Amino acid sequence: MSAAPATATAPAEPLLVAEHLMKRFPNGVQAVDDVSLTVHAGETVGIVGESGSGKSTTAKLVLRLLDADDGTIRFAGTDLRGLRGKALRDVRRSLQLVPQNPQTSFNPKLTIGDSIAFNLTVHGTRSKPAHARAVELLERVGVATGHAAKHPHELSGGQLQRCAIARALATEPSLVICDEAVSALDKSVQAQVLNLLAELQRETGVAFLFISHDLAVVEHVADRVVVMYLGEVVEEGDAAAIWRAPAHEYTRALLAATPERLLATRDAAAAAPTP
Amino acid sequence: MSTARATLNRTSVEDIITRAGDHEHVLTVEDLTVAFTRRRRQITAVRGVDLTLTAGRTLVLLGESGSGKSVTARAILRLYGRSATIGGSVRLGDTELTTLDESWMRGIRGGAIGMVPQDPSGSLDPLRRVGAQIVEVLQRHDVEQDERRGRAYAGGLLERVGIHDPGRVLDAFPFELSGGMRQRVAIAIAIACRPRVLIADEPTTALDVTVQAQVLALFTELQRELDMALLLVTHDVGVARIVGDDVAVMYAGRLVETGSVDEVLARPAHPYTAGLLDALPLPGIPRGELLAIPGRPPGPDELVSDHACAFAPRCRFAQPSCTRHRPPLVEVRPGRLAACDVVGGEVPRVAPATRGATARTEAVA
Repeated sequence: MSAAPATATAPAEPLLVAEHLMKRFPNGVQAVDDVSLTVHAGETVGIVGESGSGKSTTAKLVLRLLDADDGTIRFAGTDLRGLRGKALRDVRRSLQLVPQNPQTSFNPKLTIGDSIAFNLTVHGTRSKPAHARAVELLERVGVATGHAAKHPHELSGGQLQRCAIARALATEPSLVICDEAVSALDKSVQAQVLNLLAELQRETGVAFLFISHDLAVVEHVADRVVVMYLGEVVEEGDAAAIWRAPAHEYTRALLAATPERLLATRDAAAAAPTP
Repeated sequence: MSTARATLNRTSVEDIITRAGDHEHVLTVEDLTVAFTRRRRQITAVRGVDLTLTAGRTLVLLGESGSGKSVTARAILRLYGRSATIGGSVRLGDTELTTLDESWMRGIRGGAIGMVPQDPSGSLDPLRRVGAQIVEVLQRHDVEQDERRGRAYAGGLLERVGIHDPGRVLDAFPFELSGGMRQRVAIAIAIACRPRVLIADEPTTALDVTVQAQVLALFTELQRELDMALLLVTHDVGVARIVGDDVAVMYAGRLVETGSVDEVLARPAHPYTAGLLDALPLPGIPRGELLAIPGRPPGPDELVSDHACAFAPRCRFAQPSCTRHRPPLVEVRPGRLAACDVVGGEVPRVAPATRGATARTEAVA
């Protein structure tokens, strides 16, 4: 195991600092309410919460797929909220996404190779080297390179999610947002993909913002965890510490309800507190 | 359906249901096979599954996508109609369901055997109020023909499944309810006729974990109260652990292991079951060091040989013989069946089954 390259440097400015983010949807729902989070280079921060907690909206605000109503987002020293056009596109090279459902995130008409290469050509790489790099990446994430010529529907969910990871890593990003990236996978395949993400992080020093409803998965992958409930951060801290001693009642409810926890304590099902 | 015919059928169906109550094993599935024809090719999704459901007990059918677990559940109710070829036997008490007249089968579905689907938004009619949908079920199965009394009955059912304001929910359209509430409505409909058997296909998969815990607790409660046999289909070993008495693990259309939940999850006898348990991200396992099962389950279009163990390509214990001969499901210990002749009744675990248990117990306190 090699040392993570990112930790070698002196403590620098965090990679991502989002402060006091606010987002209200037109229907009046305050989806994100004063959310702040920090991601350092090379680390994994987990956001955990149930549907409607605002975790995916937070991700979209950071990615600038949605515009925040208020707050600041600094990424690698740049004010993200002020960026537009080419400047924003350039930043996105370093800020990538692995979405939940690869079946819908790949263009069904393009081959896998084309889809991955597109993430490079859109940033100025020529077509030939981009395709060569796509094949390299597929090999790296454990997908047979022959699949580069296949279409998304020909691959299984697990293989396709590996391809989505390859696509996100193509631009050598410093931060990848994984939005429920393993939730749709079978448990036996989920473990493979979690292992792959850990390996890639060790190799490249990429940081992950890992969003999931599954506290057990987040505890496994994350250094720090942010717990969201109804748009607000209700608890944050060291992942293992939160697992051992959750401070907020909602976190306790989430924790008691994880299947892994229930494996150990069957009677907890009836006793699970309701948020 | 003419009224005369409906009455005739109802009497007969009632008779079947009453007789089913006399049997300890309410529902018996024997050597069930389900095949579909797709692009002129036969795809066998279920190959020789045996299940026994007992009143007051829960059998969990555990498997990953494509294992045939949902197909098994739906085939019991003959929900595939003519699009599937079904072999083997499904008996409710002493009545064979695979050959039962379709008009009688309609009385069985929702009458003797209730079904809770994975996604209630797909099973509830989006254009009709919840109350009307429940009343319809009550009328069709002759529980209550009168609309007003039916509505009162429906309100009682909603209360029974933990809905505190049944009046509002009866008048609501499905889209006005949360996912958890919709699933409670689906459960209310499934138990409306006090079925002998309840089949639930991934009933909590679409729900948030805290809601899931409540809904699973509701299943257990209702089952005790109504003395139903519950068949619960899930991919989630945690869910199996919470609600199950017995578990049947499926892989590639076959059962690979059966036994009591406590036993199977503590001492799996098939490498696939052990692999599923070991792949869980339990606390204390260093990041990136999960024991993943390599490869993936065979897809629906892939041919699975009948003369080899389907799990062999992914199995740590595979021997050359595993690809030449399919191990039968045999008793490996009292009450335990497994289809593996390599591990000899208990899978040697890489890590103890209790790893991480200390950390978890601490946190619960």
